[in-house]
Amino acid sequence: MAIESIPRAGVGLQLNHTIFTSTLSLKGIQMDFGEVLCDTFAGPVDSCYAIEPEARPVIDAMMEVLPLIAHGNYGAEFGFDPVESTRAHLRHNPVAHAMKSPWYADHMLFGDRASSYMWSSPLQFTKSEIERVAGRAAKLQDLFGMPVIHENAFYYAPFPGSTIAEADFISEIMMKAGTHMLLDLHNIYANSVNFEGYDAWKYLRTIPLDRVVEIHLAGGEPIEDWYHDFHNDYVPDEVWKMLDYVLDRAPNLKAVCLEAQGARHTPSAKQVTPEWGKMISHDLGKARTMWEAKLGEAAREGAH
Amino acid sequence: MDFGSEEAYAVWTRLIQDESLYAAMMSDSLDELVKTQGYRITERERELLAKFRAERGVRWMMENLRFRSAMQTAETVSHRLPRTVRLLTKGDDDWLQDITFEYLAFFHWKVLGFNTIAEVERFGGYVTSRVMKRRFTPAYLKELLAFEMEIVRVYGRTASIPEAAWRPLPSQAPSAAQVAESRPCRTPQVSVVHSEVDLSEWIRSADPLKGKVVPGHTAALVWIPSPLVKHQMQLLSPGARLLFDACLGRSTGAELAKHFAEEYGAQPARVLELIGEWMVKGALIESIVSSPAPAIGLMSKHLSLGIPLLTTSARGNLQIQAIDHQGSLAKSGIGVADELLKLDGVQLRSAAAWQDALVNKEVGDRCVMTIHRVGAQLDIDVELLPARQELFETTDVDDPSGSPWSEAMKSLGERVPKLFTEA
Repeated sequence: MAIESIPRAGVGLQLNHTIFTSTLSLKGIQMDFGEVLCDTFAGPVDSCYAIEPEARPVIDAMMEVLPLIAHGNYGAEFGFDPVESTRAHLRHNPVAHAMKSPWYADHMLFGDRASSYMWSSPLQFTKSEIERVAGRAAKLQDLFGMPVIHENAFYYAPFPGSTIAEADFISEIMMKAGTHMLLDLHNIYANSVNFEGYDAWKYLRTIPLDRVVEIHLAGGEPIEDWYHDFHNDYVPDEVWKMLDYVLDRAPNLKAVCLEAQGARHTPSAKQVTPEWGKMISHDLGKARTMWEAKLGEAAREGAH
Repeated sequence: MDFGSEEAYAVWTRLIQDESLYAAMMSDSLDELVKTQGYRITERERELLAKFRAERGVRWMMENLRFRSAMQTAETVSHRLPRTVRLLTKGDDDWLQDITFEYLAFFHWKVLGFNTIAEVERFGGYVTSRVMKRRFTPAYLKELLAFEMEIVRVYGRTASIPEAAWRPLPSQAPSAAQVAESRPCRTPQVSVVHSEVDLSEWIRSADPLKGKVVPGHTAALVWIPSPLVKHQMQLLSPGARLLFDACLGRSTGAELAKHFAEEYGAQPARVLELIGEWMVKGALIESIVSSPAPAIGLMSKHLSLGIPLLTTSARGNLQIQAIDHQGSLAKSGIGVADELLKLDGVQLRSAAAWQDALVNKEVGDRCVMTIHRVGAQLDIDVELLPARQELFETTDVDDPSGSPWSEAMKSLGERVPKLFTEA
């Protein structure tokens, strides 16, 4: 289905490991969709299970109450193994279809069998890499049979050998592959805090905003010498300003999703507290207010 | 120099998998590493390493990667070996994180990721070969691990079954007549898992910190009926186990019923009922090709003797590997590890020879078993007790897994509809 024809989903929350396993109350929180990590429900690659059998009724139960959107964390889409053999195709593809997702979102990261390497392995921003990655992205979209959108990465270091700006890199990939974007505003903000010369606003002015289908919002945490994209605090003011900017300029934007997550990358990160319920409620509410103010009646045309 | 992505990624991977190289890079002591440990680092690799070194964030890349890898592996093994993990760590997640961190470091951070079965098998081997050798571990950990690993292997075997090969489950149980005519055969995704101790309390509760292991024997039938459901499990009494083992696609249900009635005193209707149950649940299918099978009824004429498992000792004698504690031999004082030497003074060196020796014995007869035990030869008086029909019982176990993720998954299905309204 062409992106233009996909109905707007609205404002939602990422339903991740933290949300599933903590005792956070989400009472009264209004959300239009749940973004679900395919990895949560995918079966082992070395078994017959495309979907974990215990997960099937959970997917069905969630679909009863709200639309689901598929997001892949560990698909290894842009590594060096054949696309057909990646976890994205073998496992995320069936999960995304099982949840009737309107699109599949991946990450601009290297990947291989050792999928936990992915978060620490941003792609190399070069011309030759554009060709390689765009080829894989186009192939992946064919295999999925649904739009594929790419999330820009938060990273601790640009990958050695990178020679062009990240915004140019991802823009060209989308144009060549015919794919779209999951614009993670907090990732851009966090990178701009950590890297001198990384200009968040220049980034937003560079990427083709008509290719932005989904937006991620989150908060982060400063630890020692770094500002980390740990999804464990309120969305910063600067990110709200970025959202405001993009809402005016992204005609194909379908969804805004909040991420909140406990410590998954380092023991130093903040742990979940009962206060997080209030934080999630606040940030979702603010996102909804902005979304509805900008889009008016068209805000939730695909609402459940 | 220009560096292609694959080349740069290869160096990054090497850094991840070589803690010494990473440490040397971070402490600017690569030359010393080369000199003292014979490392080979090309000029191009050096330049790439220098680029990584120049980035102040690279330590976060690496530290987070290791933490994350250990956490994900901990979640994987908790899910697939829930009882073992619980027993090993007494339910302490931090302790498990510690173990998985060391486990991955031992394997040079070559994470197997979502090749979950392979990762779990490797972890199980690590627990046996490393953890159990370096500290005291709880009693029966080895037996429990072996049991859970066999379940994991059943999952692993499903990878080689093409989708088209999964036969749909029958919509209803076959009639006794249908079972009698069929040649039941086990499906590829089935295993009889046994243990030399009675783990049934731990199996049922999924919590080895409660319940106990008692002397005895556990035989559990584990199978996967389809790619849409998780494994099924059934505890088998000795007779049920022998029956399942005998379903090799060679004998018809009628032949099996006759044999088990004659040899073990089983009720034919119960034999056919069991086979039918296994067929409708997907543990057995009807064989379409008859395959050669070893003779059934190897162990003894009378199941009441209660020896579900025999092996051969180092001395070449039959040795009891598992025993039914309600059977004739156990009640006479014969137990696991005893070697069977003679029956009524006649030396017997094979299961078939025992079979022949017992062929004229009847329930109520007495005989003298000569055994070898801990360096001594003993004569034990044995009364052949009647066959117990309980020996053909099965107990379905809803394997609760017990892992935190399985529990969360289970409760989420109930929680989701009220996710946003619960207090």
